[in-house]
Amino acid sequence: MQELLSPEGLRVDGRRPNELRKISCRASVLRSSDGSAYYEQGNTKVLVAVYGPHESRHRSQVQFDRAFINVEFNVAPFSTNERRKRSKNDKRLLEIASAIKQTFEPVVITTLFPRSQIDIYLHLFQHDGGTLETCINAATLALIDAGIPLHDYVCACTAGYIENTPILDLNHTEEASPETPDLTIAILPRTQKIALLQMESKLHVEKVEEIITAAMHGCKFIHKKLDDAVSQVTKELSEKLNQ
Amino acid sequence: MSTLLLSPVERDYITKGIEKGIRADGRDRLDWRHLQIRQSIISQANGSARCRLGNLGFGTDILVGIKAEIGQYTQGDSNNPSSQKIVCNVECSPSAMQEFEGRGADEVNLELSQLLDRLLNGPQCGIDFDQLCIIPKQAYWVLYVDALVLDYDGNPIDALMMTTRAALADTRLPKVVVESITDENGVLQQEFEVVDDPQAAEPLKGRDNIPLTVTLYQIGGNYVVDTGLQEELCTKARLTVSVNPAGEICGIQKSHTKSGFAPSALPEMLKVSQKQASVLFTKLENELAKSSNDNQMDVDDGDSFEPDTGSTFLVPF
Amino acid sequence: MDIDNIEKVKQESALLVTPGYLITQDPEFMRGHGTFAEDSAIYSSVSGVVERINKLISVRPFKQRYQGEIGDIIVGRITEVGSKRWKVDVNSRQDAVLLLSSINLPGGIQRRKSESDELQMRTFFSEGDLVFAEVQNYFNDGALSLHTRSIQYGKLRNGTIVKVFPKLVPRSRSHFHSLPCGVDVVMGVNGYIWVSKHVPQSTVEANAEEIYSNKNEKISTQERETIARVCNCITLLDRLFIKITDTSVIYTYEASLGHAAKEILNHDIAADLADQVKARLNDH
Repeated sequence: MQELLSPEGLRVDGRRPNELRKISCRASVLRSSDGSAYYEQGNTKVLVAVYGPHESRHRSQVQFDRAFINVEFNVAPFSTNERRKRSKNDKRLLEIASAIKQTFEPVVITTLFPRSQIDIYLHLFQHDGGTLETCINAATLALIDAGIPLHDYVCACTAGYIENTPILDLNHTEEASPETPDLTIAILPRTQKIALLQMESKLHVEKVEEIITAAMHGCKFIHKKLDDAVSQVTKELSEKLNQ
Repeated sequence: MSTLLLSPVERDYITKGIEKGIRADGRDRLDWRHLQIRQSIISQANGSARCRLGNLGFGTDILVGIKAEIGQYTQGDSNNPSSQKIVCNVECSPSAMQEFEGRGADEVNLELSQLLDRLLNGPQCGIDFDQLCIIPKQAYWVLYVDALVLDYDGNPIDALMMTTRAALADTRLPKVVVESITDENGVLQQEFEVVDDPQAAEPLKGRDNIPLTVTLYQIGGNYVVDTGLQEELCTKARLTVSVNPAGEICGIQKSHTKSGFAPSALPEMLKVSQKQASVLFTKLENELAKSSNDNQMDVDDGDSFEPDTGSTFLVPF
Repeated sequence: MDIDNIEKVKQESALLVTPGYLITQDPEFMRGHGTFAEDSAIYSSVSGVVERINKLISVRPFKQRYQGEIGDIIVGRITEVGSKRWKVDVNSRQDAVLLLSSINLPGGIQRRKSESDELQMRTFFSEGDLVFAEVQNYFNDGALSLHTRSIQYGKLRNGTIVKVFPKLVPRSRSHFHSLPCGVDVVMGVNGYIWVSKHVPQSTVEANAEEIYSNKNEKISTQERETIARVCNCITLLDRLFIKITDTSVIYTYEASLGHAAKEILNHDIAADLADQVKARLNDH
């Protein structure tokens, strides 16, 4: 069993407990879709395309007072260490798609587009822990790129606990360890409201608050990163248009 | 959605234009769009490449990742020693076209996967399958070729084959040490160990012989190469010819059943394909040489990032 | 946020904002497109430039689907044929509606619509056809209704379509241009642009009976080359995010004449042409 925290207090990938992985992202990376984004956090990498709002293609799902959000999540077979092809009906994929849909439904101002549809297609290229957080951050970027009105950004981060030390942004090794409780949280940075909270492990109730606080700090940092990426694209386009 | 709709007058415009030898974007019948390609972009794969066939950031965009994994020999596999050593899988992502959502791409995925499989599995592929064998009748390497179609603007087959060839050329097979031990019954047993050193990994033998494909699309009474999406919608029949660098034909497939070719037209079409393939080989080589120069420049800049999946997305090419 | 950001709109030329950005807390302002109100404050909901018209604050994103306004000239594609109406893709949040009663029928503009017209809807427009139309109105749910009751509107023929960012096609007095190079361009504000062979207005009027014809005129190789060149020029302007007007298209066209039409989209040539066009646009 590998030590997750060294005696010096460093993690398996050399990070300090409260250190996020390196985030690199870019909006407008594809041309067919209305909006798109590429986002990587450490070695977890995801590509998102957003279409819409457009005429609904699923008649049965049409809502008369708002737009309907459709999410599809795919994983590239080469994304994991052991190659694995997943079927489109894989429960884990559907669950993540559903979590993303539920997270964005209250944030996208869907009431502006009755009877329409908005599609979010995500493709995971590389998996190294924190799939859901990465997908949410990437989807936020792609939705903004498509010019779809949002009440706020949605920023997600994970946090966990190793030997009484709260740690931020778990990688795959940490996530896979059965002793490490981990939690994914997504917040709306403007109001500080929680948009999503998921934990699938046992944790003492007193410690929950501590790691939620840690994760929220992570979210704020990610908000800054996303906002910078959005501002940069907006500025570039504005300059090109006014040249 | 109207991506796949075309009016009768647009159809007529495209068809008549090809008849006159000038396509809607000004190209001649045998002109290709701009090709861009980058290798080694997925760090966890043994080889990878991303290619875009189109102009100014638009076009068909394909990402291929190759993983080498060890397959165990099971009884009955020996019928055809070279079969199933390369496993091909093509997925069209809905990011390319909304029609690919859900099960919408199943048919085209299957068609492209099978096509790729037939081009690669067998001696026509050109790579040395003996290299994939670790211990005869016991263990061998399986190459998983996984392709993603991320953006779509026609002519997927030729783009797919170019990306795959570039990704296979980029593939490094980990070094394996085989040891022979005699057990207590006096039977010779062989065991192997994979050396965990990227420096020791070896490129695929025969990677330079991998063929490319040239697909001729029949529109009206003429044929063209490298169709855009709208031209593809006007296509009546399609002939894919696979040609290796020596100019030998390694495979032919006719698909799309709206109409057929006259047998008398075939010899000329094959000749055209051969000629176009040599054009493509040159294009691919030039583009790969250019991209490796680009990587060189990054190092000079003191940029310590390894090329990874991000490089082509974060710094668009 | 202490400072009221609306002050910046007055001072700076352009205030760029991102979703959730507090624009003003001053209750006398009204919220427009791209904003939302919460606790009497106005926030941005998109990423773009703040625009202020008197007391109305709105934010326009650079990339977005087409937002229709009455009187807009658009190019659309028929996606569905109903019993008295067509559905038209106009690159917007919903397909627009074109009613049988909103089109000109062959054989006299004022002819009454009869039941037999309803039975032959596809003889006017069928799935895939491209239509040049004007936005007449919009429904409660935001769907647009179109009309083609003018001699210049109707079915599009003799050319090809180019799709661009809607933001790049400014609303102007005229969206139909006969360029000096002998090509007609319909610049739909929805980002669909139709480039076709020039057909004199007199010919159009003389052939009023054939407004729903599915046949192209004869188009020569020379004309095709010119159409391809204009299309590629428009594509180039789109990729480099330069406003697409008759002027910018003509400038690009003229700058491109040293190259073959198919070479315009070549990366290096495109960059060079863009610089020339930008310089010339800035001169005026």
